[in-house]
Amino acid sequence: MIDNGRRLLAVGSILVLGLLVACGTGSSSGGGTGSNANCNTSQPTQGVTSSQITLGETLPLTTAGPSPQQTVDGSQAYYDMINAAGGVKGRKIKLIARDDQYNPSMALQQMRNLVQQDKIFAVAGGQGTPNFLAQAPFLNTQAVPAIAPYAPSSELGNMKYPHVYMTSVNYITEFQIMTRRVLDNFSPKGFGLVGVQGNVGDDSKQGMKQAIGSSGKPLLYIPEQPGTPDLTPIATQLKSSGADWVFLILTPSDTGGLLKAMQRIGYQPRLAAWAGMSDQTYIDQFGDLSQGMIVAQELALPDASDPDVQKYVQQFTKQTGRAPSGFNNSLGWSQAELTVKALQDAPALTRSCVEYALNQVKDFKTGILPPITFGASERQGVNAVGLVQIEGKTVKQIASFKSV
Amino acid sequence: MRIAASIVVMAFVGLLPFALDSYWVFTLSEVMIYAIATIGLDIVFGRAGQLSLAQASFFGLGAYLAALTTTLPAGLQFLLVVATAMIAGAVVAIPTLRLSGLRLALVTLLFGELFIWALDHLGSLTGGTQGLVVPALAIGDSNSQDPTYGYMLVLFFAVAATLTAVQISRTQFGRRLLAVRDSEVAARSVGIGLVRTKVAAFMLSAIFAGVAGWLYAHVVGFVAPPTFDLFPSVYFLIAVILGGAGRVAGSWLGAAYIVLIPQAFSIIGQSNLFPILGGGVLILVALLLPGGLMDGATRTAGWIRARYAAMRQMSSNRRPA
Amino acid sequence: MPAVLAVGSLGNTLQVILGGLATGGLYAVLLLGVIVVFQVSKNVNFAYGELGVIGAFVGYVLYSTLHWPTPLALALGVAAAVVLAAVTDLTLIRRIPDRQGFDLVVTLGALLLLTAGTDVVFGSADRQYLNLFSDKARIVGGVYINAGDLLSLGLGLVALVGGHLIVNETGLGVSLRASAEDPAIARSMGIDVLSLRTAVWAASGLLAAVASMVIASRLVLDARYMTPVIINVFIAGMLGGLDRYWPPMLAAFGVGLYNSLAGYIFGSDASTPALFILVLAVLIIAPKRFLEERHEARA
Repeated sequence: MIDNGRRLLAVGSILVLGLLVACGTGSSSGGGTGSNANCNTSQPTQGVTSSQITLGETLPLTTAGPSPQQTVDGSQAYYDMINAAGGVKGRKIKLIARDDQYNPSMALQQMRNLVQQDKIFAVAGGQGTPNFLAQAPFLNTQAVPAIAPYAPSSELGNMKYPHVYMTSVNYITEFQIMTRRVLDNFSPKGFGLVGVQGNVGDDSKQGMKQAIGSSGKPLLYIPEQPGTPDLTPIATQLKSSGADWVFLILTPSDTGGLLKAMQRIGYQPRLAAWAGMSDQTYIDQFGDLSQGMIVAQELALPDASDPDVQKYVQQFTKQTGRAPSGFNNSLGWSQAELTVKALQDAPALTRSCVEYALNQVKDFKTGILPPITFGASERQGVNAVGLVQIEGKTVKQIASFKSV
Repeated sequence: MRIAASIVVMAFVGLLPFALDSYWVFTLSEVMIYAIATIGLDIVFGRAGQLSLAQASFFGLGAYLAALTTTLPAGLQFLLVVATAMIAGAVVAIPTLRLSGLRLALVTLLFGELFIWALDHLGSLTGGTQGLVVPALAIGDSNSQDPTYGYMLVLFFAVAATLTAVQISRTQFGRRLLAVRDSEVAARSVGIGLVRTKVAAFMLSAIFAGVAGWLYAHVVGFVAPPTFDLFPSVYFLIAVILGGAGRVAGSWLGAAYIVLIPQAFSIIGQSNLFPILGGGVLILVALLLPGGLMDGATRTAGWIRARYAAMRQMSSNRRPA
Repeated sequence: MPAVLAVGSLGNTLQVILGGLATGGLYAVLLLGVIVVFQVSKNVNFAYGELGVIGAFVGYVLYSTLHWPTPLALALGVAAAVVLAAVTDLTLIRRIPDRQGFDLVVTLGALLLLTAGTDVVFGSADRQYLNLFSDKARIVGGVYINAGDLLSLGLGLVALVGGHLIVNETGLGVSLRASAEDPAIARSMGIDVLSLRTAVWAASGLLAAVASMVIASRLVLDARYMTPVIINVFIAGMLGGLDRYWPPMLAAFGVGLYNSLAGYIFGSDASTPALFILVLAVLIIAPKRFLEERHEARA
């Protein structure tokens, strides 16, 4: 290194010099513009032809179980129905769903594919928080509207990302409402929370703390690393804390594993969990370990008596020849429903006009989500969750949609 | 002749972004970024023979430094990245000096796990599992997230990295690396300082990775932990092994493989097939090209040349064998 | 409250120790397969855990979907893993070019291929596996002595002792070591080195399948549940050295126990730094002789 150090040093200094010349100093923000209240009917556009509107989304199709594909199926069923009836403004809707493997950089890459290769008009739907968060800045710079991505996060749903229209509540809200419900109805002695470590767990903890407030009930928060091979320590920590209510926001597999560990050490607290656990696939497999579990409900149950819900179930069944299979089918359908409404209401098929239409959405009932309302500076369209309980091989409604 | 060829190649590469659409310009930038980090890993693994699974961590260190120092002038950022990467390389190298083979791989892997753990747990600084947005670096009147400008920026460093690595192989230091790989005992007997050589190799490889990561952050505009965890480290290793360890051109081919193979599935409209078939493709390439991609490319070139020569000979004069 | 906590915490600590040893026992079963494969072919098989996953899945489909008798279903699941492991050696390992790192690339490719294949063939939903006695427990002094934990621990001890007897005390073990030391000499002694190697790979498939089934009963069954487990198994193997017997096998129990205790005391998400500190401490403090590998690994 020493004898040739001078040569290396020379190369190095050329590097630095070149850089200083090339880059100047400082940095600039590549961020998009804030307001988009105006509809520009002559805005140049892509992804719209005289016969087709191309939309895109990314989901963890290959690494997160069958659920994301069911979401795509739900959306596709709705678009098929609309297309069969003549489409939107005389154009058929084409949905491209790309796999992001739940990996942020892969997600960003695939979003580039969608916008720059597939030339999509807008983002419709999608599923997963970290993967969507990686795409959000890119969507900002490209000013591509993103309609109803399922990405619960306190980062989204505000004017930091003005082109993103959220219909999923964040986990702060979700866990606050659930905790309040338990406090009001079950006089708990103490709470435990096991959450995926990082922002998801932290948001959930924050929501629970807000609900617990000054009631003085203890809360033990255990952040968990996904894929922990032995869950006995967590189960034992919960048991020794004396918590009689345990809240969970984990992957389905770690949820199942933790419940098994609790069973092995004879610990049977009451359980509450994030919305994903009301999925039928989970209940079919782990229902016996999850009896009585309270689950946050972001989407209406298909068996509800509400006429909007009934209309959805009928349409879905007519379109696909089977009943919707729970959370993900409904989620996909609702994402497509809001997207089609925005396209239909838009004065013209340009991005700014679709956003103009989204800004006008008020109390829009999908029959699946709580009523959706956006505004000129309102990007969080939904603020309410309901509660269901796992009983037998199904879930039962115990509280209707309620906002914070 | 060689110089002329180089100039033609450089002109071609420099003009590429004006011929391709922005998506492919960006993808090529990615290939170059990964090539820089792969060349770095080739120094420590391909030449010095030290099996490291921490390359994505050094890569991530540079990327996160970029994300956290956006207010500093670019030159200062660069110096900071180089200095930090050097220190990080030494921090990994010094406690592992006595280790080799799979044990060394294990400890470097754990360094990587610890890095990810720290990213996840320093949420207020690093954005935690949600990652960080990196504002574009101003370049003249444009910025690093404009595909063409980003490409030029990356190209500059990729050329510099390639020249540096080629230069290293011609130096005494380069020969010492090979000696350490082939036999530590023999290397020591001819007076090569094992400690100095190994630590220097790690530091150099960390600098390459750190600079690549720094470029990645500025060009991509987003950093999150999964880009820098165990799997990317394994992929860097695959790039070196598959490309042909110890050869700079091999590193380029390896980096092109890990970036472009997923794209190839995407081009044929089957991007969802990549996770299913990617492993199979890897097996096939390894078994069919036992000398690596570099060897495969050389042999293909040789085969074409032989064919060409044979054809010329056949047409010019037929002589009995 | 504090007094109760003190008594409770002893019981709880014992509970965690039992769980940790049970997990460590399963690590030992898995590691035995890694060790014998390494000793006979100098390869580390990254797809090893996935072989077990496929065995567990075949068992699952047979008992759960086709309603075959459980013992038969599980036996056929094990058989599937055995066949697959032997096929891996015959079709892939024998063809690996003799260059540094290529065995790593090929078995990694096999891992990716088998994982994706498992998703495609068996579906990617998480499944609940058989309880394998983990629903039966006896309470002793506040500690739940669970039959599932005892099964795991027992399997680990059987692997520890049985592996020792086979590797160190039998003619088979001698052939194994001979072909590991020098394949040419072993061949001249009349040992069919290649067949022996395939047989050892097949045996490792058996160990992987048995351990994977019990681990599925403790966690869940999907295409990826073995990955974090296998990483811990490899860590134990590296700590002890794959060319030895007792140090790595005991390290398997140690890593299981240490991980669980660290998780209990410092919190689940502290297990990464805890493991890092352990490995670094062992490898820095360990005497030089211990670190010298008798056979350089190819990867």
